[in-house]
Amino acid sequence: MNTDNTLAQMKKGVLEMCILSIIREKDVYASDILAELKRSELIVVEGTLYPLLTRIKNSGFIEYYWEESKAGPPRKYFRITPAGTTTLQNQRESWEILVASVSNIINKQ
Amino acid sequence: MKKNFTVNISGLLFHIDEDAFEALNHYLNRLRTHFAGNPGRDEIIADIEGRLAEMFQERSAGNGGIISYDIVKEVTSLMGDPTEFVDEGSETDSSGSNQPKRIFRDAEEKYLGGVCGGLGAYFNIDPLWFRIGFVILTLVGGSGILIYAVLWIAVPTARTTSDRLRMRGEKVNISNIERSLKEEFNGIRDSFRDMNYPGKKKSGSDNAWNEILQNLSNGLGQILRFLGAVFGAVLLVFGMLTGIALILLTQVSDGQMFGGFVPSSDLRSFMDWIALSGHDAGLLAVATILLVFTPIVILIYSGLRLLFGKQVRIPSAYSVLFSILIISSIVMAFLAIRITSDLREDHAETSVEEAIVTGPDRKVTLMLRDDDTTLMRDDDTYSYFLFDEEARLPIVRDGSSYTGMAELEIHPTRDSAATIQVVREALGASRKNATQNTLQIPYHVQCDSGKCVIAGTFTFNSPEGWRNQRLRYVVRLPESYILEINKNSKQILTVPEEFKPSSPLLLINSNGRIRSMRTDNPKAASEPHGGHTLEMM
Repeated sequence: MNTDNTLAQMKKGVLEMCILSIIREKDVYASDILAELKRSELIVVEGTLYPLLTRIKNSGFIEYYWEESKAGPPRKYFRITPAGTTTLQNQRESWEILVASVSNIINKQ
Repeated sequence: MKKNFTVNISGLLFHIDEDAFEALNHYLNRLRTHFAGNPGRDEIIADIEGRLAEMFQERSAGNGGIISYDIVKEVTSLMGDPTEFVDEGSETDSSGSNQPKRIFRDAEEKYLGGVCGGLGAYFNIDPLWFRIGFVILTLVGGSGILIYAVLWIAVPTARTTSDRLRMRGEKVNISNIERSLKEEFNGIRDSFRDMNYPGKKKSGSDNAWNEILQNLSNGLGQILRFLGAVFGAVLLVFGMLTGIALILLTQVSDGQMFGGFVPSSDLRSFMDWIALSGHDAGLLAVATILLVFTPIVILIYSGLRLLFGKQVRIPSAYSVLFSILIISSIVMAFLAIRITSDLREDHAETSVEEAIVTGPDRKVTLMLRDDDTTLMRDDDTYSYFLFDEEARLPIVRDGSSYTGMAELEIHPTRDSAATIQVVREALGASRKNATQNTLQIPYHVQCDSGKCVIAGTFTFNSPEGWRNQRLRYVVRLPESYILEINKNSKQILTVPEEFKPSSPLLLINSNGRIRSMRTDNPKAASEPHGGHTLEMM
């Protein structure tokens, strides 16, 4: 397994949690999420986001509403659902435990 | 100058260059292919189109409101190639796998419309067989063209990667699609050809049309299976009939029954030739039988397969059958070459000559031994009765014992004395061997005051087999000698039947010709009668 692939797999694991976090801050549309994720270098190509958003939405963690835009096409704004909030909470706890465990191991050496 | 289209992307109108349009359309098709198994496909594509529209709007503003090829390239590379998307994992895998196999036309494996290529992919058989089938159906009654035309019209082309995978019955999952996409990318640059052009209505009616086509091709699949079963039944019956016919024909001992020129006589004389050669005869016979019957077994098996499908599948039956076919061909060719080379090799002849002392009447009488006459009339006691390669003389085989017929030649000579020469000929692997083979041939000449008794046949034992042994009696008579041949010795005289003298008495003329004489009037010897003139040398 090469490093690129390892990194991709790690990012893939946390993407959902990151997207949920961004949406929980405030209602956003895809481009806002993209900007945030790209700044953090979590995704390389934008196309990655859309199937993820659709899947998270279909899981019932987020929902969307349309908003007219003066500049372009109508925008799909996402907001988090109560189920999404719970899931995010669980994921953050798991993540913190994971980070603690991993740090514990890799810092020993 | 560039041709320009107007497109509606996510509710926004854009002007787009033709090349840019093609690139964009190709990209969207690839996205559709990529998300083929994803239940949220349409939504994802719509979202992506929305984002694309947004980016186009930003970028086309500085380009006179026109989307150029460069803009499309920039935007699509930002969005990323489907293969670069982070894998959605098991979710798409499982949802993509349960699509049924479907018939498509294979545009990459085509001579005409790709129908045979698609059928080949669907049934996982070399398309060549379907091509042969269509050609045969066309030649026999012409239905091939009709069926082909119907399939060409009704079966859709495999346009997308997922189509191609479904055509082959492979799972439509991300890894398979990616693999195919990479193959496609490396080899195929003409994907633009299969584009939807602007003005054509979008997904709604397109889907309906696709659905109709899909139902049609599913129905056609069943029709094809039915036709396959019918074809299978035909193969089965044909194979069985051929097999039975061949078995019957090998049982027919007399090829003349069918006019002498049916396969039975050929097969039988071939088998006789093998038997005659005495050379690995058993092996060669087995190879021959396998060579003749394996294709029939293949026919019958193919028929059963087509008729009953996978129920009668015998593991690796085809490879075994075809191996048998190939091996028996090789064995046969090898043995045939060896036998013919054995027969062809050296030729030898040995001869002895003795003078015939006659009385003052200068008359020579040729008679056959008594025991020869019975032999030549009673062929039924022998297991084989056939003619040598020049179809001239009968050869009889009984075990390793062979019996051939002697030949009698009569020549005029300028010498003063009458002679009889015994020439024995044979073939052999070497000259020495051939000479030895000639010495096996027994002969018999006994002359007493003009009366000669010769053996009309020769019998010898040869475990090596028949080596084209010949026994020739050459009688040379000077001028004015009279030769009497009786009914038996006439039989072995080597002249065609129609030239055989009507009279048992022959006279050698002064000009070196042999003339028949009337038996009722021997005095009329010098007056030829009946027009039977034998020109022998």
